[in-house]
Amino acid sequence: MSDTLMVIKQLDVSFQTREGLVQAVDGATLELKHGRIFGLIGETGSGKSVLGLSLVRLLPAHASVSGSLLYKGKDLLQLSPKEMRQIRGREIALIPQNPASSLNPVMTLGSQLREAIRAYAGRTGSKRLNAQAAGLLHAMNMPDAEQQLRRYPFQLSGGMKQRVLAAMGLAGSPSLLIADEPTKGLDALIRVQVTEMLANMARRTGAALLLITHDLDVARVLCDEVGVMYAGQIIEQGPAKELFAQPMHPYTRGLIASMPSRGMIPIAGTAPSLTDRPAGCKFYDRCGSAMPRCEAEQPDLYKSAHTEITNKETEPIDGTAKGQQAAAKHKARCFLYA
Amino acid sequence: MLEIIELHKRYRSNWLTGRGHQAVEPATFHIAEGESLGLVGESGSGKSTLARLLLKLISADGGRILYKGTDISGYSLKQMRPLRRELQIMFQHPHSALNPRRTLLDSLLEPVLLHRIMNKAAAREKALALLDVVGIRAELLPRYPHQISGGQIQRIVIARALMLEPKFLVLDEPTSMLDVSVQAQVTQLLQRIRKEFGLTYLFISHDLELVRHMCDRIGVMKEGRIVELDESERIMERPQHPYTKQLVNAFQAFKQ
Ligand SMILES: Nc1ncnc2c1ncn2[C@@H]1O[C@H](COP(=O)(O)OP(=O)(O)OP(=O)(O)O)[C@@H](O)[C@H]1O
Ligand SMILES: Nc1ncnc2c1ncn2[C@@H]1O[C@H](COP(=O)(O)OP(=O)(O)OP(=O)(O)O)[C@@H](O)[C@H]1O
Ligand code: SF4
Ligand SMILES: [Mg+2]
Ligand SMILES: [Mg+2]
Repeated sequence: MSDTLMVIKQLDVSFQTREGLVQAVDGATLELKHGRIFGLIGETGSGKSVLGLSLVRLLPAHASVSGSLLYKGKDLLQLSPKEMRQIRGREIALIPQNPASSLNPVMTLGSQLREAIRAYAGRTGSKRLNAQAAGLLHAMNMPDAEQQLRRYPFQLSGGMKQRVLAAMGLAGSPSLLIADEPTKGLDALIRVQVTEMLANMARRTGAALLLITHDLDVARVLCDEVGVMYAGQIIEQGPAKELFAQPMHPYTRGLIASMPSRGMIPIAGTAPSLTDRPAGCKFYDRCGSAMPRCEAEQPDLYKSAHTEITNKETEPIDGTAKGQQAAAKHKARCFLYA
Repeated sequence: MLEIIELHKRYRSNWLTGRGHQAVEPATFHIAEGESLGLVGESGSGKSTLARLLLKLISADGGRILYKGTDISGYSLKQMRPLRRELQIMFQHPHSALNPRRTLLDSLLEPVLLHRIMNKAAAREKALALLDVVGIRAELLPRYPHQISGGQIQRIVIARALMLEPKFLVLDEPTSMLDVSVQAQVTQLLQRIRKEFGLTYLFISHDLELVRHMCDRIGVMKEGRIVELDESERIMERPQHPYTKQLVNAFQAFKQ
């Protein structure tokens, strides 16, 4: 059996708006594997959440989506809304980015959690439902889990709401979980706990996890593979440790240098408009290494030179296709590596 | 600039939620003019509540708030009105801070038009200048909040708070939805504005490294109490309270 759960190929998402066509995701290609955590990091507004939402087909009606989303061999984009509802939540769950608009303000947490559990587990007695709901909150380290069930979202702190969302995402024991910023707003201790829980979920149940995050430390520690998004494109992709230790793309390098622990040196300038993206490299006007061809030509994803070297080095020892495959994965959309 | 004496708050119980909840135990501290005070700690420990209390956005059960030497604890809504502009807050969840049925432009202009500070044309001009500073393209302005990304919303909210040229600004996790590069830009921007206009900040965040960069002193909260308040370097390098130690360790654990 292959360990691949979902193959996303050449995914394009655009929105028709008054100011023109917004190209939010452009040619995204990646694989999600059983028991593996794929991290999606990058610029705000680069299309991470839109990519995540497109996997559960929760984009607004004015979005146009093309490409293929092969999940267990089926293309999700070809499924009827009814077939998609069978999969959403049960098999593929989403922890949305925004707790404020994702929780119903006039329903208690208990009823929202019970509803989430019922949607996947079918009919169960109310006592059991309550116990399960409290259990989920408890697993998130919510103090007084039973008490919380009777409260409304406005009575919770920001980090508590965040944990309720995570609990709802986990309610159906999905085989693919898309977690959009699950650790934002959590204190350092709970951040560790939630991170461990997500890792456990992947390792123990074999679920695949797509983790969208701005927390680069969490991405480095938790993920097997990481993709970096900029202006709708995945501009770098590779094994997490290697990507952070040897970032290839000038954007990724700039991003890492912007971390508070690395001195917080921001990348100058702002991202291009998504309605009028540059023809060539999307990072061209902010890039310190730009060359003439970068302006007009669109770079492909190129392998890192470093990868070739380690490849050759490990070949005799390792000798397997697996070693090569793992090493060959690090690539960036930049002419420096062409 | 602000002196807080024994300020406390209990959220009342109601028939549904059972017992009440002591969100903030009597807190006493001060914030000096031009200072940036950080507030970190346990999620649910009362940081946002404390921030709202000292801006009088919710009523305290007791204690006093001195703003520039004047006791404003007993001020009525009407007495507070002229101070509202000077004391601003950027809420934790930017989505809920913007009206979903109004365009971003309307949301940006609303506070200045409400306070009748300038006419619409001048307000528009100012908004455009601020958008440039926070790195948002003017083409986004006709959109509604659900049509832009989380980070874009957060930058709009920052620009909106700055429209009023406040003196004291509470920043409740202002960069939690931004990528680290934009976070660094926004942080530099906030620091620059603080120096230029002599602003005072209360900066709430879970990112200890960021708070250390931004703040002169840091207060640490747990279960409604400020368990430790000291210079940023001291909190990070030589934490005293056991909870602070735990928190700093857990934060550093990810660095390896
Ligand atoms: N419904 C919509 N209509 C038009 N444009 C949209 C819509 N939703 C998102 N966009 C645009 O698509 C782009 C990608 O948005 P997305 O929310 O995926 O960004 P993101 O990478 O998740 O950013 P963040 O890190 O800030 O959450 C943004 O520029 C946003 O303005
Ligand atoms: N309107 C309310 N009614 C009842 N309880 C509330 C209300 N608002 C907050 N609380 C409770 O008061 C406590 C403190 O909440 P607060 O939002 O101040 O925490 P916080 O320190 O800002 O947390 P976070 O870091 O998660 O944002 C929490 O236990 C919360 O559940
Ligand atoms: S392709 Fe050119 S402009 Fe783009 S990141 Fe690489 S060097 Fe810079
Ligand atoms: Mg997002
Ligand atoms: Mg808060």
